[in-house]
Amino acid sequence: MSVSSTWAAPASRPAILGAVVSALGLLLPALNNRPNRLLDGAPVAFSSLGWPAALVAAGLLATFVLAGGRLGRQRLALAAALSVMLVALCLSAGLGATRLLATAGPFARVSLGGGWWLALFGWAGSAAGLLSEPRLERAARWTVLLGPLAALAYLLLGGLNDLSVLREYAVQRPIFVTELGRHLALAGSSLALATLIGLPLGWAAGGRGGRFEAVALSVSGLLQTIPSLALLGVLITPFAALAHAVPALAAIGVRGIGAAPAVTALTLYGLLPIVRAGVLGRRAAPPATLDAGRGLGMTRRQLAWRVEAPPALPIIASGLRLAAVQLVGLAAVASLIGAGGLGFFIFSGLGSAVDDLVLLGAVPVIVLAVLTDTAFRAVERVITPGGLRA
Amino acid sequence: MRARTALLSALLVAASLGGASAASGNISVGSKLDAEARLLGQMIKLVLENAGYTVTDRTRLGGTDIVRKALLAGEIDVYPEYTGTAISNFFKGQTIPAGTAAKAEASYRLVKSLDKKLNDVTWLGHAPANNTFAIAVPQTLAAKANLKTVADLAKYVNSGGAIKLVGSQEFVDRDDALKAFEKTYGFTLKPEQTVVIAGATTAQTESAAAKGTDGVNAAMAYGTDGSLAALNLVALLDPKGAQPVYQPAPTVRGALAKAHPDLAKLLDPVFKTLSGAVLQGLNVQVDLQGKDPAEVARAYLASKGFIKK
Repeated sequence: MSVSSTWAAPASRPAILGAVVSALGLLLPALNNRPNRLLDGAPVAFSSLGWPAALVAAGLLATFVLAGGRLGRQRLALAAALSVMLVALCLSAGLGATRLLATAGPFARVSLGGGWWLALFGWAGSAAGLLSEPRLERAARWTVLLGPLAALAYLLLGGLNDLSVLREYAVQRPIFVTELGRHLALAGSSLALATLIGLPLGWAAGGRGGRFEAVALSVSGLLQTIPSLALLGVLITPFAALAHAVPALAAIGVRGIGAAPAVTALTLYGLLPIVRAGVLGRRAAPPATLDAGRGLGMTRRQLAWRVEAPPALPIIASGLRLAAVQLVGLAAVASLIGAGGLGFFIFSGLGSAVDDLVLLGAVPVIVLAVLTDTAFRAVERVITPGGLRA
Repeated sequence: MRARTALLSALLVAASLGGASAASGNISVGSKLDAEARLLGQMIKLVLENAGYTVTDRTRLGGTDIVRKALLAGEIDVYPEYTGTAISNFFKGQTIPAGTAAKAEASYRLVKSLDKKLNDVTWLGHAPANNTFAIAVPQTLAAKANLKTVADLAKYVNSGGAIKLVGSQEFVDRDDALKAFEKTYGFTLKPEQTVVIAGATTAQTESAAAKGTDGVNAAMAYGTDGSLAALNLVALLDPKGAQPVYQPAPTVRGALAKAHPDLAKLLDPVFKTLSGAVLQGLNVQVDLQGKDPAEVARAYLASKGFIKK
């Protein structure tokens, strides 16, 4: 009991901090009621959004009351309150937008306001705080996740379709799937290439007296400092020359613009975390253990698979996770050299001064990055040997 | 009916050119990123498809730099470009006769012949629309200070009127943009009277002037921008023609233009209908109403009978 209380006390702090942020959000405009997609409009307060907003406030109040609780049922109740709050946030946006548009002109748009985003941000903090509490009951864990699932269902069923960002989606739908696919292909293929190059490099560098290691790490580190736009610009010329000299390459898509220079640039950026993971992975097995293995008469192959690999794998996986998350974000700049991806919506939104189009590109990138992180963490957990688990 | 004839004539042309041209009946259409460029790119694509070509859609490829490089490298076969952009960017080291850029026909003829000679790029017929730079001010300021033309603005600035103009680096630095306005109408903006945003688009500068961001009350704008009225802005007239003329036309790789002489016959009549007012109306549907450029282009072409509905 005393152990769990010393653990639980700091963990409840993020939940309360998140609730404070959400409470501030409720004081700011929930929505922006605009005459068209270019002009700013009138702020719409949460207080004018009726019962869904009241439900948000109720969920928030419950979060405040329950956040310090350490008993299982208190944490379950907190999880339920958080789920209710998220669903109510979505309802207030969706129903509010529909109501506002009913009496507005044909080109009117309703965008999410700063207060709504702040409330969502606070919710995410509270939820993450609860989820990070040690020995959180399974029921509470699943109850927290009910909120996002219900929100996703509401989104997919069209509940939020009257929001401006989904109006933008409706127009872009034919190319959205294409660009999403290109984004994943860009990030995925550059991760694969960076792994194929970086991992053997790091593994080799980790093994020798340290001189090669310094070179490998400083070169891949130096690559990271080059601004992405500059690197993309620099790559156009050599690739165009290459495609010109070898038409067969041009025929398979290796050209000055498009995917080839983009994947090259992204691969270079992905190298550092992977090379470093290779170096650290090589050193994960203590020399004494290796000696013991040799003493037992293990062959080189047995040493590699039974002694070196088990502690190295989780380190390498975590390097791959870092690289993957970074590449999912970075792939957004690829659209600047004709390689497409979700960056297209971001840059065309910036260019046409339409914030909701920027969101249409940016929010999926964030979601992809979070999903990538979660997936890689799950893999890390599985491949970490029992003895090394925290 | 028209569509069927066009299809037939395309087939005839293809047949007459033999097997080689059947393989190159695939045309790759590019465009820049902004609404008007995408609209024009889609129009080219739809008209060619309607005539029986297989078209690869590479519209919304990138900025001027990228798209032009792609055309010269043979990655795309055709994209819409502006005469004024060509004069100020594509012919470095060539002497451009003084005053050419401000004359519509003279600049089109010059660009057409230079680009053919230097880069083997063919300019098809241009639209009458002139998407040139303009200075836009809020309607309230225009009414209060009685501003209709850039000459009125010069008078206003010279008598100490408050002004803060937002524009791209290009607009402020280039000799033929803001500086041409200043020279022609006799006024000078001090550095603190301009806000420069590198790479800014007119959508961004107009939005800043409409919202009064950072005290901005004048913006770089284009003559055919569709959203000025909705943003409560007015473009000041340029009666002395200080600005270069920016008329859009399809630019085609020379080899392709030679292999398919029917391209001009297909696209020239379409571009001829694109007056400033028409383009402005189409731009509004994309910029302000948020419609898909492909749909707007399709509806326009169908309404004019260029493609079948």
